[in-house]
Amino acid sequence: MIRVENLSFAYGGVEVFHGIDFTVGEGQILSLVGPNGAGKTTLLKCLNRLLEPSSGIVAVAGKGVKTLSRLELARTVAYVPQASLAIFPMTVFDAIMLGRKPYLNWSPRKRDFDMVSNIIDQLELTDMAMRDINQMSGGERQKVAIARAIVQEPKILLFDEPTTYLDLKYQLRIMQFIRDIVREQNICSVITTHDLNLALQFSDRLAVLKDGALVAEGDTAIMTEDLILDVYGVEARLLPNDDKLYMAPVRAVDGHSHEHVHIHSHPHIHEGEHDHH
Amino acid sequence: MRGGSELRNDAVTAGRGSAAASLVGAAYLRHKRKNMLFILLMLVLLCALCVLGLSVGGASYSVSESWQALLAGPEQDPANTDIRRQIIWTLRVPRVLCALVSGIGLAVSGLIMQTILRNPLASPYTLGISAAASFGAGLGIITGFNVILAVLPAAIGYDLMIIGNSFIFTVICTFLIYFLSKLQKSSAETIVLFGVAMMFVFEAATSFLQYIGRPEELAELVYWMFGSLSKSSWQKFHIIIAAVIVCVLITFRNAWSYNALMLGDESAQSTGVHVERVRVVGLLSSSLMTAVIVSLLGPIGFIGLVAPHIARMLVGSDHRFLIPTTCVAGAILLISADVLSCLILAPAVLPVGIMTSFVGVPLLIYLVMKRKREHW
Repeated sequence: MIRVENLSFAYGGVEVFHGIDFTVGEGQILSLVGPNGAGKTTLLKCLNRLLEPSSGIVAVAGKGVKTLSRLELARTVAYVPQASLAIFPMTVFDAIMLGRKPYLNWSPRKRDFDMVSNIIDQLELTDMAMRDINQMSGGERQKVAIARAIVQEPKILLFDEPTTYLDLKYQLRIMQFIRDIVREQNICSVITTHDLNLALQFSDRLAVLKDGALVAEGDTAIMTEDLILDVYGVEARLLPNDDKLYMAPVRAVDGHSHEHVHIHSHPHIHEGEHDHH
Repeated sequence: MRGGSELRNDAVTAGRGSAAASLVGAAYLRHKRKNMLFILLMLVLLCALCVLGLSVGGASYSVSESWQALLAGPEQDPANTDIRRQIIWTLRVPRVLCALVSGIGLAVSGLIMQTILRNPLASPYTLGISAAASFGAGLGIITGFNVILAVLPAAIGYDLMIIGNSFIFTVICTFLIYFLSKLQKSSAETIVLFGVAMMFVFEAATSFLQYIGRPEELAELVYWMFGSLSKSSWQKFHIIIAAVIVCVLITFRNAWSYNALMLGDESAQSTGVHVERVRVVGLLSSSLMTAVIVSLLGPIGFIGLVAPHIARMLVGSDHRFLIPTTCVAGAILLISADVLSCLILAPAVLPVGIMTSFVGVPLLIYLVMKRKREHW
């Protein structure tokens, strides 16, 4: 569904990331994880050309995103930025209706109204449909942003840290909702996150970035205690959690946090990932 | 939060939404119908104010006298000396019409600036346009320097020289900001900063002119800087309305893009908006309208800042409704300020630039105080 080949991005002559390869299939969620400054958000923005990559290919459903017009791109890829406020008051309904913008001429049609009304109902926002989004809680606002992305009817959903600022219950609900949508509509999703446990629990694939390089990529089994130590400089325990893994951080280890990871120290990981392609 | 199974496309087609969902749709339509009603009511108020505007001024007539003179049409026979008809048709009608279109132009300019710069304090003058216009006028009044003459050698009148100077400097100011911001990808913050920088530069330059000017020149410049509808004429009305119609239509066409911009550049871009282009076109149309109005009538403050806020409180932030409401609100504000400026020291007429804040600010404060938390 989404294929990234040898993707690189440089800003002002400084390379942010380079040589990124991964694929995400239909009905799958890929989580981009890695420490601050690894290039996760930049990579995510390159997927729908919010930023122009300096080289490499991003193909969505077989088509290179560079060949798509703005409108075609908007009908294919939806993007939910990190929680942000509108500067002026705006109702929940109007904010979600913006997701229909790539399909609208002037007045929304019945189908647009129905889609927006239904998603409001499903996300249990009915009582707040005419309320100002700026006066809602972070979790409710995040629901609105996700609803807007979903009524855009994309093939790819991109989320930049969708669970930051959310309480525990909302983190799980939002992630469950994203997973359900991805499965039901058979689309795919790329999510950046700092929360390794949510990533382990909800994603089908992981891509681990450090210092602009893809250190490991594959299914959730690629996550190992050694990898966490290398990438985050954190000693952690990985415990079984149903059929998933649960990561319990133990302590930060000096000398690891800024050390460059040698990709070759994990040859098995890179061998493994090619099986999934 | 329920699962996504009901979100499949076949489930959202006509008639299959749940009862709760259709209630939401109905509430939304009610909201929009209420907006239309607001716009209609304001239009009625605007018409009433226009007629009132015709009857006040140096010589006061009753509303019915003005109405009759208006219906009688412009004086065709120069020998006829119906003074009332002459005053109404050569002075008052162009004055009210200039107030109408300038109110619309300034208000929409302010709305554009507030939306594209994501800044509730933005106004037509955020980019230093008023300062640039004043400097241009001052240059003409105090040094006699004629910018038009420097470009194309044609003898022009004194008034035209002042208008030309101020217009050309507003254009210079706008394009300086445009090119500087292009270098910085036209982000909202850089445009605001460059605008503020331009404002200070031109204000300093105007202060310098005032320092070297003679007292009678200073008096003329100060009078120019008040902004007054007494400078109205049919010719000026035609110029202003041409600029306003073109720019407002362009803005109206971009209504959905403006809506999208409110959620931030990245969200807007991901719904297919060419953010940079919308911002630049907005900047240019807002500046053009303001430049034309300010160079012909002088700087008239506050309409551009207040009218969009009033409109937003009445109909919300959907620009398909907000733009027309802002037009009507701006026209209402400027015409009421004009009526008051004629009445307050009658028979003397105050420059309307002095009155706009007195009318606009109490209204704004009232609306901010009484606005409900939920419904817009």
